[in-house]
Amino acid sequence: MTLATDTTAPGFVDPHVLLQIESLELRARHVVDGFWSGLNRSPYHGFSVEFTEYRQYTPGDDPRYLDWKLYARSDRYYVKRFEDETNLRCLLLLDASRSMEYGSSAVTKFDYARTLAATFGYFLTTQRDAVGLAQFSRDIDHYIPARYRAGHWRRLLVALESPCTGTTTELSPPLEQVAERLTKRGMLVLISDLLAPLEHVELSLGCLTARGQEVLVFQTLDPTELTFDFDRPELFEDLESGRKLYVDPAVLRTEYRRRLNEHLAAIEQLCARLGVTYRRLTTDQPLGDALGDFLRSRLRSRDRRTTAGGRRRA
Amino acid sequence: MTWLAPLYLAGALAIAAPILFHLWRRTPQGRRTFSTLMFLTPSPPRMTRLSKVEHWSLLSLRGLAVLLLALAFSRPVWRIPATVPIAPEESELVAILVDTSASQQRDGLWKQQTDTITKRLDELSAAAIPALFAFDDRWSTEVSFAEAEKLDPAVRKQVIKDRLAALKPSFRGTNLGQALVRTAQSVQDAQTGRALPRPQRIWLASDLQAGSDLRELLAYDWPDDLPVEWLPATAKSAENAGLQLVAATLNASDDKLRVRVTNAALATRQRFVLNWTNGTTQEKCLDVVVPPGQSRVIALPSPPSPELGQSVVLAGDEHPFDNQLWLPSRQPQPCSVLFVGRDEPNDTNGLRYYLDRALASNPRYVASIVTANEALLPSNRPALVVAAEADPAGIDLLQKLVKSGVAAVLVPKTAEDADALLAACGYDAVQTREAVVRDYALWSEIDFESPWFAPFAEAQFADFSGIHFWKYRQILGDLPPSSEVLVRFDTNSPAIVQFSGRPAKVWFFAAGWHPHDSQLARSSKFVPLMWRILEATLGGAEAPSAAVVGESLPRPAPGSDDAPAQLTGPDGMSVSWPAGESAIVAEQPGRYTVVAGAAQHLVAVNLPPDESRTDPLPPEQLEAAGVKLSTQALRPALPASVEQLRQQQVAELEERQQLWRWVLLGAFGLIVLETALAGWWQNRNNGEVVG
Repeated sequence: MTLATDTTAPGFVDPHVLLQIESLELRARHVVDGFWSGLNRSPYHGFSVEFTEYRQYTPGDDPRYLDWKLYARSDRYYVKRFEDETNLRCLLLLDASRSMEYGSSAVTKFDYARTLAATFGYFLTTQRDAVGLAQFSRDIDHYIPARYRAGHWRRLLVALESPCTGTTTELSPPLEQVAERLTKRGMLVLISDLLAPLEHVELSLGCLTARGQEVLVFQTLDPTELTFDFDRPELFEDLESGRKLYVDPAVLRTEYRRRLNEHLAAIEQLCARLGVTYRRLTTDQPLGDALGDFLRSRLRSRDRRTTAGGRRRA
Repeated sequence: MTWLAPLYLAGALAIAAPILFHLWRRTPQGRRTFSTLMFLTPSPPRMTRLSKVEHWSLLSLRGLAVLLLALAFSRPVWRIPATVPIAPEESELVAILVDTSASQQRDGLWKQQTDTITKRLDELSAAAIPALFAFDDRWSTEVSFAEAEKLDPAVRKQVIKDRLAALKPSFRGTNLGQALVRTAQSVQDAQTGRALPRPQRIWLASDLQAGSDLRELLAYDWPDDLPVEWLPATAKSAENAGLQLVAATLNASDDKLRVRVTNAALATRQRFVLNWTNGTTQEKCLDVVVPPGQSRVIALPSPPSPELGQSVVLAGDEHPFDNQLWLPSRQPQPCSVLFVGRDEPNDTNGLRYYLDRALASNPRYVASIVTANEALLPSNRPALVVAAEADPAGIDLLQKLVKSGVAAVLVPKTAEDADALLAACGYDAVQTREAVVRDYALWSEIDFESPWFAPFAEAQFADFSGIHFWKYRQILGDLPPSSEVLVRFDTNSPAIVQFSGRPAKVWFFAAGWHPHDSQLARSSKFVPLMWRILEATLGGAEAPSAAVVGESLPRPAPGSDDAPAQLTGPDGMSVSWPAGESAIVAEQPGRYTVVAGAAQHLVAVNLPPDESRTDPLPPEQLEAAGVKLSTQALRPALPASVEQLRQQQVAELEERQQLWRWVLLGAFGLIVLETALAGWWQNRNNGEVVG
């Protein structure tokens, strides 16, 4: 199955318009449905209910999965095995630090990030995959384990609706805590502005990839954070530390861009080294782009899993 | 150049404000929260030579505007007046306000008062302008300031003394508030047209009794520069007991007269005797005990004789001015009612028997029922005709009386009587017949707005359903247009019809009140209805029979002829009171008799009750209204010292020049210039940036 993820597909809405929708769930549905309408094939047939093999019934197996038609034909009990819907366990790791509250327009990075998380969550829920959520700032502030069950989506939404209560951004400790909690292999989606020192991040991320986690990093940034196109000298106040600094943007713009690009390049290199999918998003980009990346990555992990399974079976 | 308010020049210090703002402008105005400062280093603000120069020009404009504003507020004046003319001695305005109320009649008080005024007048400087005002419950100007100013200073005081000697206490109440307010207004009027007010003060010659009316003063903003000096006059004794009439209330279970005996708070005695008196002889009525500061209301017993019942007098009090109380008395008016019919006075089945008894109990009128033979005397002209039967002699008289304007009530016993009586009154077109009544008829539609039935309009009196009518006369055909149906039977047939045509009103009862026709005469409504008919025919509401001095005397309702009423006062003087003339005010207590036509009305006029409250007025009450009383001889300081005069002249000069307007205009001009200049600079800078 191929997925055409054309980022210019119709239905992708400008995030400024999208974020005017009050309900997070509606926003997520809007992005996902828009995404589907851009595809040629409908995903509602067979995508998640894929037959893999028959296995002879042994006592102790759940009789629910007996294939009665085959029994009628062959007079033998076979258990029908499907591609397990909850095979994929995805944990959305959402940065809830104060720096995420920044937004040069009406859209803050946190709004954008949580809409993104909700979009993924909704998409996976429609796929019957298990989704979990961890909100972090200095540590994991809020953790919902990956599950697929009735009401879980609602629980995720409630957690996502809660305001940004974190303090400073620390990347390494939360990643380590997550690594400790994740016992099964799965997918980990890190949504953060990654505006923090990267000292121990490589080690922590390495821990996760080494444990077989498929890691996706979505860096959400405000456009002004990239361009720094402020025109007046002003007193800049750090959202996280409260530090105040008198800054004349005209003087500092070049220096700022240079240092930021260094930081971003470091992140990119780090992700490339670890085989982590990295995507930078600014809050004026449509969310469908990110969903496309996500899907591509998910297919890749699926393929990898299938091949791995095949290898194991062989 | 001088300034009216030089303190405002300190406002020039505000010039520091634009400089400070200018300095502040260089520090960052904005504050921006940002996600992280990890890629930023501090950078000091830039300052260019050019911006400094530009802003200095704006700064100087702003500074100048502030300076001009401060200058405008300090009210500059070009020149100082060279000389300050000061009058060597100011003519002081002295308003002498003399109390002539009834309480001044206390023993020796008035003489003491006039002596004090005379003495103080002698002490007054020759340049002073005194004016004399008198008050009781009115206020009058005896010598005005304008008149006194015109007089030669040598004779001013003598004129005042002469006019003072002509005054004497009246019997009226004390309206101190009104007097003070009007005097203050007179003083202020005398000051108008002068740049510098003259010194002014009021001499208040009064006993300042607690019964003074101060209401008007409380609503007046008393001027601060008008001191009131009280020339005290105190009676020899603080004791005083008073006697007042208590207004009769509807709730009183009896019709006894009640009087109130009051005793002053500072009194020592409390035993008094009430005596009946007719001016010459006295007869003891009651012993009264009233503790000091209290009052008692006493119901008077019946007087021993009507002559002695004219007034009561309180014995045992030192000040007799308020001790005699004239009592109101009701004198029923004699009138006669002509009865046309053959009923015997004692025939319980007839109409006359009931009419006689109903009218006899009326308190306002002594009605005598006369027959046609008795009514022929000219002195016995009937006020009302009640006709029951077509008695030939009676019919003639009825016809004549109705033509001469006497109202008639027709209560025919039969349909034939009805036709004959109506014809005699000029309504021969109205025909009647005996109605056929099954069981009984009732009054159903009663016009409670008519004068006859208005007293019955309230719900508890409006029930006439208990009165049954066995027989009645039914009117055939239409009624004349001038008629009005006051009551209808439940068969919709008229029961009482009022014919308002000229020359007299005629009422037609379709059923009689005698037992043969109905239960009306034996119902509780009959007597009030008959009284109402009599009173509505003879005159309006009862005039009040008690008044106080200063009130207008009630004039009895005018009779049919517009003859002037005769008013006889307590002194026996009789004056004519023409019908169109305005009210006559009673000036002294006593009995006034008003005779209008046949009607005679007695009015008992007494002193205003508040005059008996002779306790001293608490000075706080005057102070609450802003009047500061002083018993010291006040010598008001000249309001204008040399410095004050100079200040005043500067103020006048400033008022004329009004330089501040121009300075303020200049300041606004500078602000506008500064705004325009700043805008121009900004546009130019923006242009440069875009370029």
